[in-house]
Amino acid sequence: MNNEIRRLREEQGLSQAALGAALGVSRQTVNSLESGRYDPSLPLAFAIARHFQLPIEEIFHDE
Amino acid sequence: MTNDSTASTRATVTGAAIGLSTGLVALVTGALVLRAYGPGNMWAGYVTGASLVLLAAGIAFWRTWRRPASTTTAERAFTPAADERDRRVLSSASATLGGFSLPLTGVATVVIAVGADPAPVLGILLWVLLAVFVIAFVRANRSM
Repeated sequence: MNNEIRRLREEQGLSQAALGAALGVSRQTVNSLESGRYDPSLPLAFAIARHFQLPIEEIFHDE
Repeated sequence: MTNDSTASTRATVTGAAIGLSTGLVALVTGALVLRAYGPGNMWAGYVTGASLVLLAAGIAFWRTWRRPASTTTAERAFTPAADERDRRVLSSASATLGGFSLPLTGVATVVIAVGADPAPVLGILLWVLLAVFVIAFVRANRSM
């Protein structure tokens, strides 16, 4: 699953570690999310959407 | 420090205390049983192995508590500080270990049944299962 996390994070000027701390996950998890190797659980996807104040479908794409 | 991070730190420390205490009890109990009833100096090997595991667990707990930013998946996965990806990596590796354990145990049983000395066969089985778990953990960690 593709996503916009890296772009959104960089727009906020956050490091992967800082975003991870805000979401309650590790820097490695943020890196895996950004590279598309790891699909988040629904609760984490909602937490990411809340953090960026965007609907989930504007962050995650199923193609 | 926020309430969430305070609760998280408390959970990590409590989990570490419970885990290490349980491990210490298992170490002492196992050593006493093996010294009384086990063959040769098996108890000494058990104490050495279990102590190394406890030491590694203690280091992992300490690092996830004091230096969370520099910890690895392997360190976090066995502590309360694990996030959902860490737990998924651990689950994947555990599932692989489970899948391999039945046929490997079957092979070991057949080898013993045809006359092999059980002690080395079981020792080899233990090391092979450990290797399977480590390889599965590394593969899962690299793929997700």
